[in-house]
Amino acid sequence: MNDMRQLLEVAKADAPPVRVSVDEIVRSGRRRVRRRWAVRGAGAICGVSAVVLAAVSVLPSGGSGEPGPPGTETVGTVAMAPAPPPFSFTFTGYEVGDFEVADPVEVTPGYERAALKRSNVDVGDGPPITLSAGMLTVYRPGVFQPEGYRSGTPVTVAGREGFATTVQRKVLTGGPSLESREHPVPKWFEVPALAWQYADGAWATIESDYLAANTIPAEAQRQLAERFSTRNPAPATAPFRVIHVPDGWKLGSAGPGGLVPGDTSVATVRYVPEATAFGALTGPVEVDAILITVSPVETEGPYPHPFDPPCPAGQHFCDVKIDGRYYAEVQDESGTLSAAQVKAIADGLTFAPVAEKGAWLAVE
Amino acid sequence: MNQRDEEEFREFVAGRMESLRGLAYLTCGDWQAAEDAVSTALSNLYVHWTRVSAPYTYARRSVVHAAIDEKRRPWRRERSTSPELLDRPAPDRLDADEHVHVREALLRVPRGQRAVLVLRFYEELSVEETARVLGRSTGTVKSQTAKGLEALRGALGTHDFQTALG
Repeated sequence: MNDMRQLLEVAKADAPPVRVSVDEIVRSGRRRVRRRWAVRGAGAICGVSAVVLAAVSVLPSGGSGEPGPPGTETVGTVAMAPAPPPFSFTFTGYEVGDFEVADPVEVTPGYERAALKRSNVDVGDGPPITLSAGMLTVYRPGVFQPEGYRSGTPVTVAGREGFATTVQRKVLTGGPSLESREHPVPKWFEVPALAWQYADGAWATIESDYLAANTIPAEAQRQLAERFSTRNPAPATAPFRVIHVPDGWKLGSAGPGGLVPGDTSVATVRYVPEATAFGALTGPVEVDAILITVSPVETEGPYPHPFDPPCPAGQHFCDVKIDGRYYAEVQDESGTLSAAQVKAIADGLTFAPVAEKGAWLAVE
Repeated sequence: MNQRDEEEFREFVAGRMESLRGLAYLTCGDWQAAEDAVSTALSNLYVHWTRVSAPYTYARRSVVHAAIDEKRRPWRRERSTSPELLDRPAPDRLDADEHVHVREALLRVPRGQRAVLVLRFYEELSVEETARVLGRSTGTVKSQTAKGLEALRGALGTHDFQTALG
């Protein structure tokens, strides 16, 4: 350290504790992303993709690309568990050792998703922490096509068929240092993954994050699968009802929060293009949506919400103040809707008391 | 931004926030304004994360510019007289009295020159690197370095200044 630097260090020796958290900065960043439509494709460009080849062996009812209606029991000659009602949650979170399956945060016509966390991770500085570790996806009967997993090691999970394998995740990285991202290089990581039948013709998958510290070992995946069980379906609810949806869009997903760590939203509903299919899947559906969220009011930081003006020009979103604690936001991820259409969706929202979850409305 | 990118961003923020906040504070002279500047810079970096080749360089430039532009909370002399400040330990060989003395001296250096001094001697950048961060010519950086050091010398007193520079 040079002496001049030491002198400058002295000048800032009264540093108070940091008030802003990493989560707050991430949330602020997300707000900015919403306002910068040009970067909406970043997730797709650098997205992680699990490479699992598909080969349709079990067609959903009617071959329409959609899961069968409730009560469907056979497809061709394959026994099939009855499908639960649409947009209902069929399991709750649980723990196995240091691993935790959170309550599902998203339900679609084809599957539910829940985040996996790993606690007691030693990061070498300070106390052990909890990190996101992967994703559990529970598909509706007849929806998941497991052919990509069949080359793996056959396993038996609660008496049913399963396959333990590795899937490749593609990540673009700029090199060993965060300071070097000029020439992104695609890297492929093999991560443990498991697919198993939790009911007749109904599959679930566990896929790890690729970070070594977070990876869920194969044995832990098997234990998590063994412990998985379903419950009586519970309808997804939201603290709002959507009155106006533009033509060509349909309800695509609903859930109590976001899938990304740090997301503070308490309810999320997505409308997807009418042509979006939720049958014969080899993985979750990724499509630009009309996203409606309810989140706590943000008064601190550089980007308070609800935003003023509520529908800023050219930004593809509208905020709606619900009460002193919560606000709703309608965001057009596709960028195809007019400002008037986005505003019409926002104007058409009616709300239930956000703090009283028992008063929330069934998503339809 | 996908989950992997976001985790990478979080690691970056967790690891760099403190140093960026210190940089902003030395430039603008107010901890709250410094934190605002860092929040603004980092949330902007989030937007560009997957396309920024050198995140710290990007963030440093954003923080310094945000701190220089910060008008709402200028470097306030009155805060240096706060008794709480005197209760906090100062690092290394300089004690709390010297801390207040140095703060007051630094506040007397004009903002632009202060930014140059901070980048040259705190961030330890070269003249060329400092010029790129501030968007100024190398000649301007050199002259502002000289003027800034002169201003700091005058504010600190010749003895303390010589001691600081070794």
